[in-house]
Amino acid sequence: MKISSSKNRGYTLLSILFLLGTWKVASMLIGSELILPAPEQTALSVGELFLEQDFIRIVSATIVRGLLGFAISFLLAIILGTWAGISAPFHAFLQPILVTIRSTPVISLILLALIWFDVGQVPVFIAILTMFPFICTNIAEGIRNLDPKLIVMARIYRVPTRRILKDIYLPGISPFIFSGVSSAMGFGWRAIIIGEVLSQPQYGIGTFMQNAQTYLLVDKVIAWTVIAIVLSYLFDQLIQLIEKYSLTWKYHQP
Amino acid sequence: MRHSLKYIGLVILVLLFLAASCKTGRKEGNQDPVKVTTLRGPAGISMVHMMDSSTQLDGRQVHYQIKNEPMQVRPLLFQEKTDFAVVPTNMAAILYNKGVNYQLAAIPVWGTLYLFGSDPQIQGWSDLKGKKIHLMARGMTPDVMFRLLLKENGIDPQKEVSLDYSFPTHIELANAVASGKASLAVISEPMISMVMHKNPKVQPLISLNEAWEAYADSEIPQTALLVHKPLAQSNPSLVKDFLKAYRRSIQWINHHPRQGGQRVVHYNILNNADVASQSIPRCNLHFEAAYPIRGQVNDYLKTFYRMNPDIVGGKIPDENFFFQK
Repeated sequence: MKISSSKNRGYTLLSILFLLGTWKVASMLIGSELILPAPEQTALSVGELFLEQDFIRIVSATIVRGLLGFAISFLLAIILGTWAGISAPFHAFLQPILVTIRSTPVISLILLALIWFDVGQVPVFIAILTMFPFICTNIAEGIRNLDPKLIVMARIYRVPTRRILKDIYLPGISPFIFSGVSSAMGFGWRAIIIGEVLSQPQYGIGTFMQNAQTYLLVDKVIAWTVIAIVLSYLFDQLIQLIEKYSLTWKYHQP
Repeated sequence: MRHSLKYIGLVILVLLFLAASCKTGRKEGNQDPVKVTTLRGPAGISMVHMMDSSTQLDGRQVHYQIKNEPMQVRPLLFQEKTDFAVVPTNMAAILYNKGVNYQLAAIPVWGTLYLFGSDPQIQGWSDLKGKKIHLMARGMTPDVMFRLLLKENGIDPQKEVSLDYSFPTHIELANAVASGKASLAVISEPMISMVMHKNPKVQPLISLNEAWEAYADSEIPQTALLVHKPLAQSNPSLVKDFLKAYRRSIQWINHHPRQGGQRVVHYNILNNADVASQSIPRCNLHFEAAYPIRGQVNDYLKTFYRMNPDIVGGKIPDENFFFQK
């Protein structure tokens, strides 16, 4: 989602116009609101969603699930990822586990979770399992990519451990953490919404998406999708903002 | 650059082609088989006799197919790939109101829903307070009807009970009750008989049909037989013959539950003939042509409409919803 120059910005705009144009043409060709409503009609439906009395509750329920899942997986990933980064045997031990979790289809996780947990917990569980491997792998890789000579040198000059952590480890691995978090969140939101569709908690974007599907309100299904995309995009921007901020902060330290 | 443009062009072409192919309907040749789509449940049971006896109508083959869930029937109706189909009545109204080209021809199934489970404390509605009740498919008939009846019986469905939708289809929900994973659930025949056969602790606790009759003073026109409108217009006599055969099929199975049970197993609707035979009288099958009872059907839909207009597709269907012979 990074836009590097004004020339590329033109292409980004073009791509969005292309998407909307294709959508419009397709909806005109199909000629049935029921199968594919026009983009402008969907825009109206998005507007209507904002006016729905439970809108804030529905969206915030999904956000809370996402953040909770993220917090848990981040914590786990810091602990296990750091350990795997430092210790090669543990890295070898953890690798197959991470690969297994990552290769398991999201839908099988959900089907199992529906049996194991209460409805409200299912999307969170799914979020944890989809996000954790990304962050964990990236933290471990970040640490393994640090120049060991740099650390040896710091030790020789008797630099305090706290400073080694702060000035060598943290800057070295933070790009890895941020890219891990960014892709984890991207997958995480999608997984949470699938989880909500199937587990039907009282509030949640997925619950209402499914409801709209049952009642054949195709414009509303797409409108909720737009909300989900915007949500994911906003969080991605937020992560980038934090990354930028932490970089400036790093270089302005005395 | 040239290359990528070519690819973009190709993608657009493919999309346009797909869009165009959605639009062109299929041509109706007279020798095409008549396609009938029913559900693995009471509606399927109601048709076993005609599956045996009515394999030809008006010189055309009749092909029957049985789907597990109404959601699997819906796309066939959008694409107009079936001549007759069975779906829940409120789904029929939604489809009609959204311009899908089918009419309501008859109501064959009249209320097969029960609250059932292994919780012996439940004697009446007030015992449900604080309980967890499993429902399938949020927004479909069992769910909206149960929530309406809870409210009618003084229970707030949002606060005083906990409704769980984690088993989305009636087969999964039935298995959950049979294995004891769900202690209370709203479900339809013949699944009730099947589960009671597997787990003798499970009992029907509250009949939604009786509760509905007490509330609305009318039986539940639960399931709808739809007919493809172009067929109804071009060949009304075929439709009439079909409806006649369907009426006979329902009469036959109500009078022959024992043989009927075996046919139900033969068509793979259930896997146990005894269970099927027990279930048949409880399936509440009787054939009513839709047009004469349109008032009753609309009253039923109005009840849902008052709850949430979306349940019936935003409005009460007009006269043209009903097939008139």
